Amino acid sequence: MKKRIPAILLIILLCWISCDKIEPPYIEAGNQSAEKTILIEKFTGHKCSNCPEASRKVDELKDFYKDNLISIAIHPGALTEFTGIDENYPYDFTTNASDLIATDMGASFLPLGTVNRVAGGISNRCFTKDEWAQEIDNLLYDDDGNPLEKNIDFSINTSLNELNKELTIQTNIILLNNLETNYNLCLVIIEDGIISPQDDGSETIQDYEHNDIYRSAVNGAYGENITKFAFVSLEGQSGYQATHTLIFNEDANVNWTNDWNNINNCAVLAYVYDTETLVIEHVQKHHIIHE
Amino acid sequence: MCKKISVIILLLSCNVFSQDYGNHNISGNSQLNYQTFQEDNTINADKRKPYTSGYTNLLYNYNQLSIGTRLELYNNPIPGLTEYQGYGIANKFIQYKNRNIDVTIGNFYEEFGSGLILRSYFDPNLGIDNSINGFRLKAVSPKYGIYLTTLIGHQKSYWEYSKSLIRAINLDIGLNNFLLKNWESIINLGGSFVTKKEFDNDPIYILPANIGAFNGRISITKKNTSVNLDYAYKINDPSAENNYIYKNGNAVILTTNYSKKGLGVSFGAKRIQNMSFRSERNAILQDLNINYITPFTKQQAYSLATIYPYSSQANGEMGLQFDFYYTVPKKSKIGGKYGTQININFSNMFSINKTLASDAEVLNQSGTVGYDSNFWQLGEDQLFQEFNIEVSKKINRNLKLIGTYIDLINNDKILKSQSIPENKQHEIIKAKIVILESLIKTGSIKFPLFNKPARTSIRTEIQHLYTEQHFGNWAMGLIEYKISKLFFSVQDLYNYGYSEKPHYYSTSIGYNQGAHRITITYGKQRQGLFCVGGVCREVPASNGFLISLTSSF
Repeated sequence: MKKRIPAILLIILLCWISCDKIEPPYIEAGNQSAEKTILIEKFTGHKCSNCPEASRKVDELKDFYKDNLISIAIHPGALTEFTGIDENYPYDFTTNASDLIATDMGASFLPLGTVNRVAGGISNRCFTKDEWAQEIDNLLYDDDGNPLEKNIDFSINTSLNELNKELTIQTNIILLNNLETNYNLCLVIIEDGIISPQDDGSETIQDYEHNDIYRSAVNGAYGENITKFAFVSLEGQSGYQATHTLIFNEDANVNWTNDWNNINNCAVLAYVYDTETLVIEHVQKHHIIHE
Repeated sequence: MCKKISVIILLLSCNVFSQDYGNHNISGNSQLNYQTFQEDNTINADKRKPYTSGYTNLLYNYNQLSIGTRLELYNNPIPGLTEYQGYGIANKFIQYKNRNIDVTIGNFYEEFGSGLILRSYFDPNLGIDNSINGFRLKAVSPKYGIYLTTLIGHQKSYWEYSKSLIRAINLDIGLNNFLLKNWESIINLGGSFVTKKEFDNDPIYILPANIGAFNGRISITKKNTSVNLDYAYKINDPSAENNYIYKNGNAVILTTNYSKKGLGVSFGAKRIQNMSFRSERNAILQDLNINYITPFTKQQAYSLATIYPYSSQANGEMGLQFDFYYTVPKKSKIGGKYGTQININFSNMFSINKTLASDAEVLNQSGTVGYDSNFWQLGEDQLFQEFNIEVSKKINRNLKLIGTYIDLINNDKILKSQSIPENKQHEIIKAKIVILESLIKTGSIKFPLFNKPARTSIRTEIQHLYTEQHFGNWAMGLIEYKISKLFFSVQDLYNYGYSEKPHYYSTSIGYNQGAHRITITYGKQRQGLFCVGGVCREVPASNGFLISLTSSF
């Protein structure tokens, strides 16, 4: 037996030396050079105590990927346990269009999120927050770490009639590479800076700031096919030009009453997706009021 | 078609009996469940396709060689188990075993000590099968009391295997066999080391590819008293469960026992810090657990006592358990003619102390150490507390009564394990439960199914749960009539404290024949947590038939 003891100790030693103790800093340096832009649709709820952690994850990812990452926050109306309104949580973050998207994408519990709506994840197209970074990286870079090319670009112009709060959005969809025409353009208004209670761990934060909130679908929950728009020459390249309008009133969102005055914190989110795969090809955010 | 064939195989296997052919032997066991779901708005039960689940274990032995396999079938699984959909061979192994050596290739289950750093097991009721597929070698030296286990493999997850690799070694030594031969005390030592190798694919965090965990154990027994100390340590293991913090994990479990005829006392204390250990970093719920945290709460069996269970908190918990068992002697005032058994159990669990780490802006911040912790200090929140007293008394030859009182606190505000009523929030639930069970022997009768006069008995349960929180008060009644191997039962759980006042009635009939059993139940099942040994899974509300067949052969 004594002869075997050194062998046993050797095995234990081999196990020990295969442990990786990581010393700070624990985060990679964010020196990204990606071309494409990715959309995270974060499904959240004001009664979801784990959801602020997902929001912090989005912030962390935005710090890392900078302008290559855009997020939108959707409160799925079907999950009333997390998104229902009552005297303690009076603000209604839900909309019919975003409810439809949440259901279709598989937001059966919270927090979850899609990443450019690629297939996979834990529920239909939804991933848990800790899977987002890997999915983003897969969409931005090839296997060798080289940035993947952008196929579509946008230029978005907006004008606001301050008298009747009518917003006109002109979206120029620039085709950088030859693409099929099975793409839809979807325009959404998102709103930052909504102060309302939010569960966070075992606490309820009364003055929590809700950002990137899905407020209104400008051209339907799933948008319109780009061939519907005028085919024009744009900056020396071909593309489509779309013009849409939206009035900031209660028809567009129940919270946009006459007293509502938060247009400075609103932005247009435009994205184009493949109607067969549902995968988003390009996304861009445009602030309505530029400070 | 293939599914039907699989069901037929499972059914046939229930009728196969153990076969012996000299040195050859075939044995196994089987289970088949079929459940229907009809819509019932009174209990929020959805209509679903019938759920079929079943398995057959087959084991062939030839001298020192064993070959085993398990065929499993799942059709239309309930939410939470949907990844099991399908059928096929879920487990297969070949094993050679003699007095000193045990070699297994294929799927195997293993537990080091109490499982603090490694436990793989199969529990079909919980839907857990985290076997390791690989190679295991056990070497035993009975003379020296030395037991060595080494293994390497990939852990099973539903129908697939994790890409990460587990390597582990365990050594148990009985010191009295060679060092302390003349000692009165029996001293056993144990040590284990487990590593998991998972590549770092995360673009943001610098993650450890190799994560190691160590476990040391000592057990001292002298006459009627024993003391066990179990300590584990795990290096930085950022994961979805701990919110990607880099803190090291550790765990201490101390248990002491004293027992003699008619009296048993045990006391335990434990502290767990950041000890979630899984094959994959992003695994959640009950998926791919490498280790197991022993629960410190009583395993409840009565219906209302199972409504507010506690599941072990691998990220952090600290508490104790006390258990006292005493039999009041016969022919004493309290003991009466047959004696009286008294069992008192108390357990409580707190969060661990956490203060802001120097590199973090909030507690448990991803990409930081997460928090600092004072080892000896309790956390701010009590997670769970339960006091049980059970008195069991045989009144006469034909009547036995068991009375139970339970007082519990379940901090669902932190645990968030309960489904909550509309417009309510997770809250601290305080409940008091009273249970009276009676067992009455009612003589023998002639029954057409049996040749001889059949013994009959009646078992009843009356339960009441009082709480001002959650769904409010519950009452429950059960009556079960047994004629030898045949039984009938009727029960109703009545949630009269809730505005909808739902009834969860059900009726069952069952028959046992040797190692075979069939049960048919019709009725309603409440939504809630189903727990075994501190591991829980959510089950949806249902209304319908449940047919269950189990068999060993």
